[in-house]
Amino acid sequence: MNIGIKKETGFEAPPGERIKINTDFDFPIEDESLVLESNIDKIGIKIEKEKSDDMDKTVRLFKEIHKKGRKG
Amino acid sequence: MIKTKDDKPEGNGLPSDRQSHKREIEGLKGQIQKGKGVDIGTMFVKCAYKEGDEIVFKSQRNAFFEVEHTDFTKKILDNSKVKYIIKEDNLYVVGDEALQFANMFNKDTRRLLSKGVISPTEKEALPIIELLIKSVVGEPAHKPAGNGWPSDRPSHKGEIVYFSVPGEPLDAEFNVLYHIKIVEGFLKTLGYTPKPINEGHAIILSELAEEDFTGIGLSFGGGMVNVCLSFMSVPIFKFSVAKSGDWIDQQVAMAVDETASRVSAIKESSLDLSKEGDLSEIESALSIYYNHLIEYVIENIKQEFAKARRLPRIANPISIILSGGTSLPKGFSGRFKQILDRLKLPIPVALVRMASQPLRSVAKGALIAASADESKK
Repeated sequence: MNIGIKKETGFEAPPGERIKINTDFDFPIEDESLVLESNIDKIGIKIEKEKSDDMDKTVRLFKEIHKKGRKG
Repeated sequence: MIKTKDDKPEGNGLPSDRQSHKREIEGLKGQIQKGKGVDIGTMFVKCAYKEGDEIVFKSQRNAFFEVEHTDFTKKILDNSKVKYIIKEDNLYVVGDEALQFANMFNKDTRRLLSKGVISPTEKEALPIIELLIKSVVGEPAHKPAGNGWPSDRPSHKGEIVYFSVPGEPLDAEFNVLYHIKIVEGFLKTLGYTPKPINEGHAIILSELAEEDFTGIGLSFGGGMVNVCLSFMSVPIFKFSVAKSGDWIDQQVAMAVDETASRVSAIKESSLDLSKEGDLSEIESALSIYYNHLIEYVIENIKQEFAKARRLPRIANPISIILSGGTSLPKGFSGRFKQILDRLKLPIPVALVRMASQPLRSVAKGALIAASADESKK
């Protein structure tokens, strides 16, 4: 049985298997913007709108296809 | 007349059923629905959310320009409705006006993001980018009662926000993890449950529903081009290259001895890539570098196909969607098609087209992912 031992150089991960990092680190972020002075809120932000038309249909389809795609 | 499945009304189609559906829609009008999508790009920060039967996009240009800080300047800016941020003793014009100021002073704007990630060379960048993100994303529309939230109830899952992240760059020595963690951490402080989504993948969600989310999404942004090949909504490969609009501006500026800001202004206002003759010096140089960039991206896609070990069997020719600010000049998709015809991908391509709204498709795709996640809660 091939267990991926390479002569003289020790173990080697089988080709195609990548190391996955499973730990996570929550970055302690503070809202540094609180010390800034700005008139952005007073002037306002550029707002555009579009009809959502078939977005709900797209969301449903995405959920269905994504489930199938991940299984497949 | 032959009816397709799309013609069939929801439910059993009876009038009372339709009336209740109509009532439901009426009830949703004006109501902000859960889930947001944010495009954090080198040029713009854009947030999309659904309100009733509309998608609302809020955006802010990601550039700043330092001006002299006096009470008089501040007053003039306030009166002219020019947005600014004051940090310690420095006064920065932000947004679209930063570009106008830079042109006026024949200088370049400073950028908060460089090559798709928070700029490592701008020490002022972090609080300013936080403020800009906060101004477009706002606080969650749906949050639990209480003044101290989210810090007093960190276990509560806030509204889901998907934010765009670049793919790992093939041609630059940096990693995008630090950028992702900073943005994620900041969105958490606002009370959201943040999740990253690849920029190219977001385009596929927004544009390729009819093709079962199978195809290639390309985002030609300011700092990078992001590429994602997706099959049945699952990314097969995704990557970025650290050459895009800014690179074009810098190369052209060097070639014709202009500022990059002026080149960018011409590129955004009047460049026509379908024009073959009667080009100015700047237009000719822009045309040369656009060609180079498109060819570079297609060659990198070909290389990724060659490297990919397990490609799914894609039965039908795929669609390629082009988006992002650098893809906006007239004639861009035609130029892309011409070069693709010459270079050819290893799989058949049915269609190359611009995204329906090239500047909104990333935020909209991120919103689709957020809405899908929210509906599972």
